[in-house]
Amino acid sequence: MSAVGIVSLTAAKAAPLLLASLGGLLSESSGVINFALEGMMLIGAFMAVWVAHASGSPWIGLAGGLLGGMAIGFLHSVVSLKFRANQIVSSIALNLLAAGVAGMLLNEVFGVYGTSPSVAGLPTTNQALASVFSKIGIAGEPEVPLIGGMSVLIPLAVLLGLAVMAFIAWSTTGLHIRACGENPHAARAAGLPVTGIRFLAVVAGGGLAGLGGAFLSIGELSQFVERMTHGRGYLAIAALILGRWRPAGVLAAVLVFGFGQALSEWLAVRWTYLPDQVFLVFPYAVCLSVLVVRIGSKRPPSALGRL
Amino acid sequence: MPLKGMTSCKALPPGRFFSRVFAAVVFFLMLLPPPAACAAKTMKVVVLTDASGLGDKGFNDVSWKGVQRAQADFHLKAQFVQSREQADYVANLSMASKFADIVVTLGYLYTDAVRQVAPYFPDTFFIHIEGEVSGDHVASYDFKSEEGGFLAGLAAGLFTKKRRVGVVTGMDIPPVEAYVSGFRAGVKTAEKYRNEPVEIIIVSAGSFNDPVKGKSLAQALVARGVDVIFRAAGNTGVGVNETVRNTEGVYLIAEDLDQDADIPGKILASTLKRMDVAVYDAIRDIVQGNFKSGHHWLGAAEGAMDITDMEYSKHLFSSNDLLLIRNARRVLKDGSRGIPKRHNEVDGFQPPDLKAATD
Repeated sequence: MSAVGIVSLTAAKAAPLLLASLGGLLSESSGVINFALEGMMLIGAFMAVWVAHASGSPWIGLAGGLLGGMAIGFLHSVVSLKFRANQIVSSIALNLLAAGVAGMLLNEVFGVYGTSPSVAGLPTTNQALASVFSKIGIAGEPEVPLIGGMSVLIPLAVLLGLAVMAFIAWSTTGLHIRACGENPHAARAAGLPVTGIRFLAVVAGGGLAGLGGAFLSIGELSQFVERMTHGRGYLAIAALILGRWRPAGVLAAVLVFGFGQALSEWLAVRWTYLPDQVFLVFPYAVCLSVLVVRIGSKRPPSALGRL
Repeated sequence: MPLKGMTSCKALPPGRFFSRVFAAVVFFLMLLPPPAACAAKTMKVVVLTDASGLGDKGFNDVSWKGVQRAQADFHLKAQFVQSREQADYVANLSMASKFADIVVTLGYLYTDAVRQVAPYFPDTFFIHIEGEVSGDHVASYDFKSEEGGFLAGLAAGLFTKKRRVGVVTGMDIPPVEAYVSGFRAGVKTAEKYRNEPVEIIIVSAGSFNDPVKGKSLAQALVARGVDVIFRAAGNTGVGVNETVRNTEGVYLIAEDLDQDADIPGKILASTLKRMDVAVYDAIRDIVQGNFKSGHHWLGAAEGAMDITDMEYSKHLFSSNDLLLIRNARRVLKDGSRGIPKRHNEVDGFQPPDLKAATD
């Protein structure tokens, strides 16, 4: 793996984080704290495998991942908006609930423990392009540089990510969402349905995080393994905070995290004379040192966590 | 002065208050277990799996098999409890010890918890796998994982075309270190018979539960020119399988359980660690009233450590290589030959003479 390998590896590590932290951004811009990204990713990962298994198509499975994340988002918004519970507590409870439910469903649906049976995973970028080409009648084998051999979800995640960023930053609805997060009373006075907007933002954010989970289960792998998200949802929250709740900042943060992970694995197979622990610590050391530098000074949305 | 929260609670209209109570009750009811069935007095066995849990296609699954076999033979009632993380071990173990007649704990990471909890429950039998625990109601078993690692290393070292083999580990706990040290000793032995050096690259995922990382680590090994990967990584190994399945010319040696049929022809062999036999025998001894407490080391000599017959991959090896592997299995079964258990013992290891063992 050359230096080019690091670029594509960074993309693979950053893509699920990008989806999840943009999901978090959507929710927190509207003023609802969302620490439930881990649970959303996990349920998304499971539902993607379940639906792909039931339907036989990984693309329908991807929609399942979306719905799985939205389901947790729905619960979070009901508990925190309808019943006005503490949003952090609700998030943590949902993370724990998701871990338990995923394991239970795995046993109920597939009759196994721990690891689901293999399902059809999503194609690589090259394969996906080739099938599109053959459908519209263009001959030839497409070769995408850098990420061609990696999951088709990587370019899709980037496109979706850019769309979400543009949506939050420039669209009128995006402005409404941010208004709910900055000053809900003023927004309400201006005639905006604050609770409704927040509800939709949290559910849509859950869908994005669910896609991030589906990336892990049917993009990278082709099966569900219990607790496979392995803290990536929390890392996505860290990226959100490090990115100062701004779309571009979040993108930069997930790239830093992804690069840290990619570089540590790249070095681990080269500098074998160093103890393993050095490489295990490395990405988090990168994360901490970037946090200490404190780039930018934007505060969180003013009404974050308040109704 | 009333607290802020209290005033806001009072301000709730009664309708909303009741809908809240209703929601709380519904959430609570979801958690209630179904009414327990009345069971006749049978011995209760509780198995505590480590954080990888059942379905790891390895350690936990093998041990659970032994319990299930015992359940079928001796009319026991067996169930398992999966701990989410290490912090739960002591709490779950105490609960299980109160409830069950026989408690089986799986995995080195449980050793401390068993040492702490077992003295408080002198009437419960404890069977612990991997790690030494004393007590006259405790039987603990350790496996000479290094012997399995040695056979894996020999097979990998003889097989590799690119003279580069890789290892993906989960956490660097002693049984894994034993596996890896044995593997290095095995590769060293293979070097002696090939008359050329074979490079070993060892990477750790830092967790038994991160298959996505397992996949990319395996890809990194492949990109470095590795063509045989040995894994000792629990659920992280699921990702290693994924890489091997999708990459031409890369082969795998799996751990603990016969998985050769999972990717026929690409899994060269699996090491076999017969925890099921140890667990079954221990339960049988308890049921029949001749429990043997103490610590037991089990290895190839006891039939507890071996490698598969390579049903799907035989044709990929030369007959000479197969002979060497067969002889190595025989040498280990004799039990006279020690294999390094720690990394720092590998350098001093002298490869055994496998040609002479033919007769």
